[in-house]
Amino acid sequence: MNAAIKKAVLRPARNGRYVWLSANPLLLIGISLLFVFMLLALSGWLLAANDPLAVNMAERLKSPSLEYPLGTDHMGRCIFSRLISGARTTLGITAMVLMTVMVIGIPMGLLCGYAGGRIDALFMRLVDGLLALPEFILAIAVAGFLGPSLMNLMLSVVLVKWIGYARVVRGVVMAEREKEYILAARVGGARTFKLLFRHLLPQAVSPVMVLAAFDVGKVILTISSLSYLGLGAQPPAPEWGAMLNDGRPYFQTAPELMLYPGAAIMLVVLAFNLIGDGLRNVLDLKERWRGNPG
Amino acid sequence: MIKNPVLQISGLSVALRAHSGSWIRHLVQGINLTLYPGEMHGLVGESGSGKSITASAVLGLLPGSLGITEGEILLNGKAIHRLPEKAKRRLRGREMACIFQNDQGSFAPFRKIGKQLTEALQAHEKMSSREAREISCEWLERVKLPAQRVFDSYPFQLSGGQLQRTSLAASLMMKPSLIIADEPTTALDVLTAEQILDLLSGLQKKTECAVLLISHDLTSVLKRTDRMSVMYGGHLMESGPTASVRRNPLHPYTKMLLKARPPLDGFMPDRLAAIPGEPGAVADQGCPFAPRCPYRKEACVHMPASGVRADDHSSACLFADPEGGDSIAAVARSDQDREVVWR
Amino acid sequence: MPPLLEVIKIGKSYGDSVKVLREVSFQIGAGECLGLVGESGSGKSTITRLILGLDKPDSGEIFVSGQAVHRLKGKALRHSRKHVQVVFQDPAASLNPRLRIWKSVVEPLENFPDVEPKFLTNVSGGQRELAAALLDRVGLGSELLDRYPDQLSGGQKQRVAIARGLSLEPKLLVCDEPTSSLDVSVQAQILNLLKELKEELGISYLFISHDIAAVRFMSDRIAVLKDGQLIDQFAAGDLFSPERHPYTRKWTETPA
Repeated sequence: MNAAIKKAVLRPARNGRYVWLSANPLLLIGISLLFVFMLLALSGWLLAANDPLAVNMAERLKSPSLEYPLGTDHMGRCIFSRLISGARTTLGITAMVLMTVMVIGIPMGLLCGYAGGRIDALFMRLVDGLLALPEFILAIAVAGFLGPSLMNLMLSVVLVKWIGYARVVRGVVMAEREKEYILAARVGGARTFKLLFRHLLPQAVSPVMVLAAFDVGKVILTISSLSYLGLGAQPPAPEWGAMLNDGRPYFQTAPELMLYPGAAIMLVVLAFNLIGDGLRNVLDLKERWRGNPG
Repeated sequence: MIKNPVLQISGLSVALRAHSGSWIRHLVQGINLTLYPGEMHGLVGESGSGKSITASAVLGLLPGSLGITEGEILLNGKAIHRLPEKAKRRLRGREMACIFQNDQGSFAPFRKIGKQLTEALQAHEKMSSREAREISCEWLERVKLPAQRVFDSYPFQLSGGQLQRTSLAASLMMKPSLIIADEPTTALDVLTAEQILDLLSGLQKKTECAVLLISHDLTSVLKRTDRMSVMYGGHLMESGPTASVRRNPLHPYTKMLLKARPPLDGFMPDRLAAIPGEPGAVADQGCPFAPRCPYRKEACVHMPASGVRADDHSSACLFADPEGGDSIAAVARSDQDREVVWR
Repeated sequence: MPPLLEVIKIGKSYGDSVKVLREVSFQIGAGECLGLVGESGSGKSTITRLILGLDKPDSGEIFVSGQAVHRLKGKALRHSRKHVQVVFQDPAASLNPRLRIWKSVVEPLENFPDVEPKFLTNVSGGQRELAAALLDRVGLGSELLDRYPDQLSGGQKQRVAIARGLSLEPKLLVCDEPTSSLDVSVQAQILNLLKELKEELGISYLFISHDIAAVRFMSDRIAVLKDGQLIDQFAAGDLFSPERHPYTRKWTETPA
């Protein structure tokens, strides 16, 4: 009964397949926030003519002015320029980390989910082992062994994060592989490669997108935190977490040194979490529509 | 002896509400149904016919986006369509019970069947746990289940057929005056389904309870019900005593539905008499079946009134003999000729 | 000449103890339709899986045109698939929701570029044109080519699935409850279509259903499956013969 009613109720809504944004304030707010940031970063790049690395001890700890929109830090560097350039570091590293993570995690998930059996069992043991270690401790350990650098920081994050993607994809594949359209494709003579990438992978796109949107926030936080601890970006490179650390000794006298990078981190993470939430709602909804028979 | 009807639906219309609160579209229109005690009434229709929505309206289970725009529903003479939610909830279970297609869904998954049955009994009537246990077991036996074992089982330990029998027992033990069975056997095997429907009709006759059997399966309705109604696109197409409908279907839709099933025995035609088009093809104006009706005439742009023919048997077709062509209901107001809008 | 499909004493268990099929044997001749009747859990879908080569039998043999398909692996198995195609019960689940209709329809032809069905020889053009011709074959217009499955009705989706099943011009089409999730008025259309295609293309069917009337309409012979065993096998005309197994008779007595 419910399926029939749901169908009747949902039919008018289905006509607008892409009424996404208007129906999802969360997604809208998240995207707008991100857009503002990007605009700011872009304009700053063009407008803020200050060198983010230029030390000028004569101008240290200045209040905001036309020349230094957010003032200067303890070494007389333009905070605004450093923030903007830090945004590129932070977001760039995050993007690279996520891309690497997907390149490793998705094929692993496809393989394990589809092959099953011994390969899958081996994979699951590996995952259990990695999951037993707290993510942060593992990252610290890697950075500790290989020495503090951005490269090693990325490596340590990738080492942990790929598991999430592999598991999501594996779950989707295991749920879908016995469905009739997959069986029909097999009977139709599709090779394994085609089954995996044409039929199974697209089903995993939405959950992976949602996961990635949430992970952007988490990775930014991890990178900033580790940089704050001195395990990531090394001075004088501008990075939000490192900037926080730099500002720490001046917390009493010049709290804005920590306030600006802190706020930047918070807002970007918030934007991505909102996008993640919104995406999840939208994609869930679409799944439900599609689930209706007839 | 003239009995009072258990359920009386008159002119019921259900529509979809927009966010703004205005009505967008009618899903069910002008339904009339009367059920007497001990009677089994079959409501037949394809997907989108509005049969399930009609049932939900009676049970007071319409989702928030749907609402009753016209008509009334009387249960034992009392109007129930405007009752507050709490009063409706009290009615369900006590005066009317429902059996759904999804047998798993009717029971909480991690509590024993016995506990759920006795609690339901005690919620409606003051009685000791022992009494409740005895009544539950008695009803489990009546639906031909090993009572003790089922009483101590969890829902997942039972098969689909057993669960459906249990929900049958659960609804009958409340001694409701009306049971609404919405596709109760669609998820089951043919042979199991037949047994359960037989059980339902047997017990129903004994308890004088009225049953509204909703089904897409014409054969099971034809076999057991006393009266039946056929719905299409939210409208009643035909309604009457089952024997009369079987012998002498009046509406083209019913006729064609009957012919579309391959016969179980006797002469097998080389091709089945299929109805062209899909059940989703419903005319916005006039006869909803017109887009698929091979006997469609110009007059069909007007919604025919459901006219009572012989034997309490009514049909919502303008033509007494659609295949012929004489229009008895010469209401074809040709001055108002409008274009039929196909959906 | 060997029969088109020969199944000899196949058995299959899942897990350790549950025997799903026991010594099931039957044959299907060229152009013949065998109806397989059984309740759910009787092993019907396991038979489908074994014949389609999606699973291997524990014991027994399966021959398609004399070739032992149960022994095939890898490339040989993939190539043997062109001879046996399938139409599943739930049309909503049997099409990839994210592929446009025409892509689903021509996918088998894309997988086997060497196959040239007789009924498609005079189609010129690319895959889209082939898809359009296939849809036309099952009574669908080319306006559906670019739709997604959720924009089609249940009957239309089932026609698309049939078109895909036909695309390689298989010798055998396994129809696993092809009408049981459709509306009554659409069931008749699909049954008529299947019968028409069988007569025109000379394809054999294994028609699996729990609807005995539909089986009687479609089949030349009928086999009855109960608890993993074939308990009765007879010509469709003998359905009401007094020699029928008591269980078979139960099937013919129940519906109205």
